[in-house]
Amino acid sequence: MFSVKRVLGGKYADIVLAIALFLVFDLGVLMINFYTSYQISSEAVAINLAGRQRMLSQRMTKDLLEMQTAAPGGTIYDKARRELVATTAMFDTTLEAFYRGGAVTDTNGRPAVLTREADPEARHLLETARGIWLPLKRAIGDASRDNPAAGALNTAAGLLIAHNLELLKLMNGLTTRLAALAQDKASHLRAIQTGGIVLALLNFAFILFHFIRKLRRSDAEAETARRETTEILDTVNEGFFLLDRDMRIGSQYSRALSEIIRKPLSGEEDFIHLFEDIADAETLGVAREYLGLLFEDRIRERLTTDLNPLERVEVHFPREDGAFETRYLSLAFTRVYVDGAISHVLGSLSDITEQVRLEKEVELANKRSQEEVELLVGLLKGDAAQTAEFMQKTEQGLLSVNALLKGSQDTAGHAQTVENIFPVIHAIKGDAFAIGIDAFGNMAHEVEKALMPLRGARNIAGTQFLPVTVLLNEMLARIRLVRGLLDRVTDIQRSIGQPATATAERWTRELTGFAARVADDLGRQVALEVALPALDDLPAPALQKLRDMCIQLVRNAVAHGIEPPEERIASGKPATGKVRLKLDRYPTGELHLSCRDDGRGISPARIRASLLRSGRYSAEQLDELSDKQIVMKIFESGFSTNDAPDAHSGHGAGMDVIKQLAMALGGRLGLGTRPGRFAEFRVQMELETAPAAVEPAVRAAS
Amino acid sequence: MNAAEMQVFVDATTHYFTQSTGLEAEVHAPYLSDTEVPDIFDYTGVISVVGEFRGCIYFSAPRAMMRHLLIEMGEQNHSDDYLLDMIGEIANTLSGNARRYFGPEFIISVPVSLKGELTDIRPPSDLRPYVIPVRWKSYRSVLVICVERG
Repeated sequence: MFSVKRVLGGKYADIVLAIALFLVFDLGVLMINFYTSYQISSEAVAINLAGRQRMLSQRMTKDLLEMQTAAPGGTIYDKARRELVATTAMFDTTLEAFYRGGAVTDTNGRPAVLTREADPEARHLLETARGIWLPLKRAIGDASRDNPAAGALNTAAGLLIAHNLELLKLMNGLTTRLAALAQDKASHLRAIQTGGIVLALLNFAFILFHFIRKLRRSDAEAETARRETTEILDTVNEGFFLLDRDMRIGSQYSRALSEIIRKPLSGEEDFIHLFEDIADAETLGVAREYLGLLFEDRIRERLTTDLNPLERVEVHFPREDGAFETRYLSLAFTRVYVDGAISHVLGSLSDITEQVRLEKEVELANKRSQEEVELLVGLLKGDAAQTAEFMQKTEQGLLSVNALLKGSQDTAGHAQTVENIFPVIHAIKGDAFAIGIDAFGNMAHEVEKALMPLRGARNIAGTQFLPVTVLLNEMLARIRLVRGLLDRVTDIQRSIGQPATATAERWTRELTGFAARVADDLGRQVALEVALPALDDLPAPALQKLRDMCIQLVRNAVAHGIEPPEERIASGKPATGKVRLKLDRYPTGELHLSCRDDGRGISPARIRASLLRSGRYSAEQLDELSDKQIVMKIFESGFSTNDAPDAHSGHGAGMDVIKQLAMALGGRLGLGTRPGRFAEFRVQMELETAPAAVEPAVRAAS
Repeated sequence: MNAAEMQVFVDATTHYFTQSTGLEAEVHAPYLSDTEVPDIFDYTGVISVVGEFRGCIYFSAPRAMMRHLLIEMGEQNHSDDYLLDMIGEIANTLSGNARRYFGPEFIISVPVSLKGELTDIRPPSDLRPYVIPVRWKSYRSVLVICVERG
């Protein structure tokens, strides 16, 4: 619906109206001016004609007097008579025209029209003049005939002389009156003109005042709006911007846009170009295609929203150190319509890195949880302790494999490395399948498959071990996961209140079984005596480490300490070796773990020989070391007295592991031995207050 | 990253030695590092990757080896700048081969040359870096791959 205001130009209606009024005032004044000018022109003619009447009355008197004095029929007489006739006719016509209105000849001889004089005063003068003139006109008419009657001339002359002054006075009065009326009209006109101009000026002043005020207000409002917009654009965390059909950014955009993409903007820039050095080519192509769709009228806006492929864009900001900083950005677009047509697209850009990070963490946590639950179920189904033992043993085996790889220096070394790795992996595979942890069995099998082509091969390249190393990494990662779970299982068991005696019993059972298996594998006979009365109130991670340490100590005692039965019998010992594992809490609060076997003891001579064989030390260097110092070398990583590694010994990792575990528990290692008689490892710990990772003091005693 | 993918970087490294000096480099058995930033020598060329894989790959060599390389290449200038340029060139070779093999989805940083300790380079978490010893003449250098699937 059109309103008056709309017709007049909407918000500019009042200025249009004011200008129209200004024009009306000006035109009004102009028209009045035209009309009055015409009137004044007519008045001027009338005034001149009234003035001429005065002159005509005098001329008629002169002509009559000349005719009186001249001889009838003479030249002077005739001239005066003709002039008298003409003058009389002119006077009469003009007087009648003043009185009734009509055509006349003006003072310049041009035709003119006089309107009937309406002014009462002028009318009175005219009526008086006509009263005098009409008898006079008849007398003059009689006198001016070709053969006038005797005395006619004198009669006319006498009448004219008698009324000449009065007639002159009347015509003079008419002239004066007409002049006064003209003056009045001129004054009136001036007043109207002045009024019109004043109105026009007032209107103009109104326009100026009103509209300047309005413009100022509009300017102020526009400035306020601009400032508010700028404040909003400077404050919001999202990057807002407008895109035209050429994918160019408009001049107004939020500060965050520049901050998020980390580059200054000047507006009018190609939007896609902004991302060229931080996003990959595929993302840029998808973005350009999608932005094109946004400007296509035939595609519904809702569909474009659903299709948005830019809701999560990965970008990479290069850093000075050569690395990348990866961020995730989200882009959303809304069409802007003007008169039903898409004019622009409003875009919003936000940095969703934190959100994506959280999502990924949740996703990873879910994935891990799922994997952990599966493992956990497997662990709960089976024997958790047995699994823990397997993991510990497997990790140790894998680390020894890694150490073999690290030490493989040349082609000949590579061939030997294959031969050394193979049994370790094979043992892991066997163990895994034996206790039902098929996942590890399969992974070990994959390693075996990777090693098979290398067995017996000549000229093995170092890179041929790459698949082995990759599998090694995967298995170690898996072990970390399972060990974490085992800790949690221990926690759960503690939280459900299993008494310490139960833990001790379980450990005793597990360790006894373990010692028997190792002894079986190595052809020994062992009786393990376990006394663990002090397992109460130990934190779960400490229990786990303590358990690993017990396993290592027992394994070490059986594999290295206890001699084969025949050797024992030969040296006067019972065929069955004795290993005693004990955990006590001293009155000082310290925990003392000890593992004593009645085996061959630790022989400095044997260690010296082994160190010499390994090439780690020269004979001279070894000669300089005391027996105590030599004994301490068993804690060095990679040291082993067993030249033929098997599943339980010979990798040079056992003592090192014990040392690491003791360190982790903040404990001190002690060692007592008598060659041929016994060896005893002791660890003193203050678990409740133990600081983490303190280098243990190693003390040797004989 | 699987073995075949890692082989791309190993080949790029050995190829560099063969091309530059005519002498082949010997690659020893790869192993897993037990430290966060393993085996750093005097000069290190690093490239970072994002996209399908994330992390960094670097080649690190001792000063003596780098100088010997320059001698083999007939270069008299053994200044730090030259040595850094050369280690950067090796990193650039790694980068170029990776681009060719993995395509545009493998986003690789500009190679960076570093001298001394690496302070800012950290492998992705939960990952043991692969160390691949590369022996050229009597010198030992390492190619280290600390990359995880993104």
